[in-house]
Amino acid sequence: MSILPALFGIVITGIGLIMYRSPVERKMGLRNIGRRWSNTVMVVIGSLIGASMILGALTLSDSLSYSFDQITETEYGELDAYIDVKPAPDNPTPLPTINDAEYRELKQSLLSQRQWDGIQPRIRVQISPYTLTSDSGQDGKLKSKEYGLVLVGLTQEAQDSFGQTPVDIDIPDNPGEVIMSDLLADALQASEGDTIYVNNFDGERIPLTLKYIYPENPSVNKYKILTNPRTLTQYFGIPTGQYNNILISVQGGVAPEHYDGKQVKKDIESAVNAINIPTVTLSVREVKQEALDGFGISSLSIIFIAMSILASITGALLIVNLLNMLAEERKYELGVLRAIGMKRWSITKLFIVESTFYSIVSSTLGSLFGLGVGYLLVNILLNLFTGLVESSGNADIFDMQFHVARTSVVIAFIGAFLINILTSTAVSFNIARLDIVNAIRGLKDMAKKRRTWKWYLLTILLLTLSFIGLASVFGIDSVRHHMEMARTSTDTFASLSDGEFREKLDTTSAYMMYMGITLFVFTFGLLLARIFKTLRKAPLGVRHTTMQTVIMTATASALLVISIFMDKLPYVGKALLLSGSKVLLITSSLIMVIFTAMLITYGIGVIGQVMTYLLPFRRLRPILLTAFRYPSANRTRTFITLIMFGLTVFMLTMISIEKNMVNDELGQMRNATVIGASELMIVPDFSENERIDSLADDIASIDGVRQIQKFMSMPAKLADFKYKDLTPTKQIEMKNKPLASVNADDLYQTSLSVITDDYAMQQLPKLYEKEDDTKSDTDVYAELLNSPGTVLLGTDFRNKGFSPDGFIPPQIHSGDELSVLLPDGQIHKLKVIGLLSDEQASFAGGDPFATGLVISQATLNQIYPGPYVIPGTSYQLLIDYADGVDNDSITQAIKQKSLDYNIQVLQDVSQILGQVTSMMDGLYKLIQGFLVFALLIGTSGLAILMLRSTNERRQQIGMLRSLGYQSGMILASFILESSLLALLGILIGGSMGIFSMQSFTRAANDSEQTLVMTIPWLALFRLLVLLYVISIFFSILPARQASKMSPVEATNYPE
Amino acid sequence: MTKKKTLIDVQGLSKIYNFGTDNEVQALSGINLQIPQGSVLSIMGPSGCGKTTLLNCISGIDTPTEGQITIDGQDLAQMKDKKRTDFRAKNMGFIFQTFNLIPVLTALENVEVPLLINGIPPKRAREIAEEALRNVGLQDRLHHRPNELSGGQRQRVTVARSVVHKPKIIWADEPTGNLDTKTANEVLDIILALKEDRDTTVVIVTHDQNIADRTDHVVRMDSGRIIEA
Repeated sequence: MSILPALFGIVITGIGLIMYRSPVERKMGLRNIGRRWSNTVMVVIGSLIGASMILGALTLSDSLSYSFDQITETEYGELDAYIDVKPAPDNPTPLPTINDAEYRELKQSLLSQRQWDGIQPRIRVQISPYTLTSDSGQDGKLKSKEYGLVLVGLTQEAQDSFGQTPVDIDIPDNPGEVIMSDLLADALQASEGDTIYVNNFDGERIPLTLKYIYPENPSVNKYKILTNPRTLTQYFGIPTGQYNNILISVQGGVAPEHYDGKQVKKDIESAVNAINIPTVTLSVREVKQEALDGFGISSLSIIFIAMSILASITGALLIVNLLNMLAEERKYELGVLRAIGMKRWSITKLFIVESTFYSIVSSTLGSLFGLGVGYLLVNILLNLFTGLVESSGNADIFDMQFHVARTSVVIAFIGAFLINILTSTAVSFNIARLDIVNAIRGLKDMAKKRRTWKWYLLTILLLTLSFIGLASVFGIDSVRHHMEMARTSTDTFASLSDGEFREKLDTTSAYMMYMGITLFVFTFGLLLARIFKTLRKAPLGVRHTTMQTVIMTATASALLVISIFMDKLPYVGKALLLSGSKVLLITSSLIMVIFTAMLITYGIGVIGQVMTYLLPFRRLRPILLTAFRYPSANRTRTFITLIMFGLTVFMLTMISIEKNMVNDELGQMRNATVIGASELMIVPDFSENERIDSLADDIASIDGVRQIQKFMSMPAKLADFKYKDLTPTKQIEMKNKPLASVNADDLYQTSLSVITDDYAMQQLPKLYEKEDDTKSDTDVYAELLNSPGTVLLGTDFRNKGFSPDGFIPPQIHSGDELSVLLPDGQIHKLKVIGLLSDEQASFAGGDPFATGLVISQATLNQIYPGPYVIPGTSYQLLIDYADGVDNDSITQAIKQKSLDYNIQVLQDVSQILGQVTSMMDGLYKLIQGFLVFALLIGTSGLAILMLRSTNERRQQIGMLRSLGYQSGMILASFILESSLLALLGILIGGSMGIFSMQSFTRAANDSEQTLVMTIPWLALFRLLVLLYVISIFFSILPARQASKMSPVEATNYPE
Repeated sequence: MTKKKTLIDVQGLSKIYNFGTDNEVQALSGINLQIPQGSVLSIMGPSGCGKTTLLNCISGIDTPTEGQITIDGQDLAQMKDKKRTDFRAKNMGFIFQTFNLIPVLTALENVEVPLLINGIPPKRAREIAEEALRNVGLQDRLHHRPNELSGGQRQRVTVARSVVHKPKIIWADEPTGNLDTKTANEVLDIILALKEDRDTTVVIVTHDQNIADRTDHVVRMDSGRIIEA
């Protein structure tokens, strides 16, 4: 961030010096501003859109961050981290706790790490389903609990230190008294003085009195009931001085400059690791950073910021085009100025002075507009969230607030200013190189064939770049080896987990492969073209320009093919699926658009020629002749215009396809009739088996329920097994930096899930790997069901921190035997017969058993016959309704049944999918809407190009009119010209967007994921037609202006 | 001058720029002029005397403030733009001092333009344009763009373009103004030779007395008026 103001300072100082020391250039440059106000307005408008989009995106990001910061602050107050006390794997207990002595030891260890603001122990009981009745004893207020309610026993001191409510709260003195928030009370229809019943660990209903209700902030997690710790002792049998939850406060605030969540977690983990309490496992949870990360602000903001950067690039391209046109228009006077002794640098200074004005005005106006754009985005997003919340019937309202950080305004203003001024300066340097004679005579600069020292310098540079490209491709193995060595012998990469490191290794390799080849082909093409350009006689008797066209066309084609099929390159296909490959995707997209634009620019003459001679209308011939020839003659501006258009259409196409794919997937889940996409899912907390079986039977008897399947999952641990890279020895090898972000022990923790026989054979969940590839999936499932002692690995074995690239860690192979430690302390050997595919874990429609170890009921009966009153054991009932039934009434009936069994969590999958669909749809619309700003630059860029062209071609238009061109012919010619550019831009962006998504889909499918790319042809067609119509609409004004020109313009010589 | 049929008849022609404003400029004042068919007429006069304005008005590319222009019996001033444009396309060719070629078209394509406007089939247009360029000695420059040609060559392309559709009149505004004497004479030779072949009427605005000497008639102007005809 500090680099921007520094750069701004340097640039402004430089400009100030130019202004001060070069009065002639200053005067001329400033006078040029007002010379043609239409120019000034166009340049300013063109470049302010980029600034607006940057600030708009940053504002959105700021508002999201600010709002989520506020929510997090309100939610957690002074609380920064927890230490949860969990049962040790070999010591299952419903409520694991530590005692006073252990707590003091832990506190001492924590204090040795750093000075915390506060550490407080408390008991937190996850409540089993409860019922609520009024004082009158009527049961009319019964309500199913659908929330993760907790009963928190805490002292007044802990409440005062870690209070998470906006008001002071008095914790009840008497055991048996509880308090709750007004929001929870409203939801439960509870009043002060009511008795509520809470289940203890034996399933008994314990009566507690609601002492009072306190006001709560709507954003806060309100599903807590607070009580005195003695309530827990007296009613739930928890001895005094036992704690299962340690609250820790570092210092207030979650602003990045005050708070480092990762460091907090590291410190606490170090303290926890320094002590040994064998009966429990201490698990550290940093809450604020996790909460903020969980909101996913960054990914949403990044989309908008990426688009605003794209728009800025488009805006910069517009500046290049406009300045080049200005220079073309002023060529004569520039030539004269050079002739009478003005140096090239002075010409550059003229343009810098002029551009400074444009840049300051456009950046200022752009920043102001940007605030408006940001405000608009925030409000749209707020409506989106509010709509979603209302449709879900949830009382929570996401209070999104408009907020702009000063740094964002500075970044947007300075960023836009620098983009403008640096682009202008680069273009000015080029303009200043004009040939004096040709400029005065109004001729185009002819290609220079002399081999000067600059020629040799550039040639050597191109040769070097080609070599670097080749070296990158052939040096991948060596770099990988070097990185692996660096990981074990130095601190480099020490902070990365093994999985993150492997991802880095693969993305680096993919970059080197793709960028290396691209760099080599491009620079080699340029080198060849350069050499041919300076040959005395071009080979094969062709003209130099033709030879150059051939070489550059071949280069662009090669680069295009490489980019379209980049997934086929070694390393690249795999890396495309990694989250770290976004930059690779963006780079390749840019390359695809740029080189297609280049290809078309070189071929546009041929396209025009073919169209001119193919179209049968003789009367159109002269119109076509001029319309198609101008874009091919002005290659640079055509190229830039095509990129401007192509880039924005590319993004729109990608977003449209992705939106369609996501909607398709969600739609398939919604409409699926198979049980895997159940309408209703019940996820009870741990409980005894019989109760769940009985509930399942009752639900199955409800009319309209077609099928019901029960899945159970229990904790387990991989015993006698060490992951190669995560042994303690490995951590010591990392010099002074242990792999703090990876808790190796966590990786040995897993779960044992049971797949039902029916489900396995009906659905045949997709497998990624089998012990024997010749076997069908059916054979594998038959073996799983019929051969007790066999196991399938869940999807997390493909990506659990150490293997993001989709491969089973080399230590586990299909056919291996795994030792699994179960909660009863017994170790069982299970034979791995396959690995589940990733897609089985997809959102909402995923299988309940998709992670951990998957076994059959027969295997479970053999190794752990039950009963399963084990903490961490969970059940899922997937319930499928018959077609054509009233879903709502069946859902209500099932909820009532669940309540009878004190089963608490019901999840309506259809409803969730509906909400997600509506949310995704809204988000994509917002993104598309934002892209419209970028499109404005593209379309207005085209209009500006045509408007400038009318001025530039005044004499030619006059001549054509003199020769007999009707005004309508001029109009048609201009509209055809802009049509051609718009259509080609749309074609480039659209086709490359599709190719890019295909490349991604192919990579996914090659990696065994089933991703079906569906192109929304109609929607895309409508969108692109709309874009075309808008472009043409903007081009009508210049076309009309041109058509109204008098033939006498032919004799009006340039000013 | 009156022995031949009068092709162009100009009566009471005036042109006032910024008409109706405080900034009026009287460019032409009461011009009367008759030009016989097949003749070559030059208009001479000092800079700013209205030569080019006169040429623009009588060729129909500019509209006079007052007066009547009759060409081949048709009143040009009364024609609507569309008809006047059609009339120009069929009956007139233009040669300008700055050549005014379309820079993005090749020499051949530049010459084709008037033919295509007149609806000549493209293949035939190409043949005729090639022939026209051969006639002006540019058979080996057919596919060159204007910026790849010398000044003399460009003006020859302009000449070829002005005659390729066999117009009745060729208007030439300082056709040799940008050329050296030798090249200017060569270009003029071509124009005059074409005139002989086709009985075309040629009107040349020039400063060059040598050129004027080679024309059938000379009109001298000053301050927007004809002072000698």
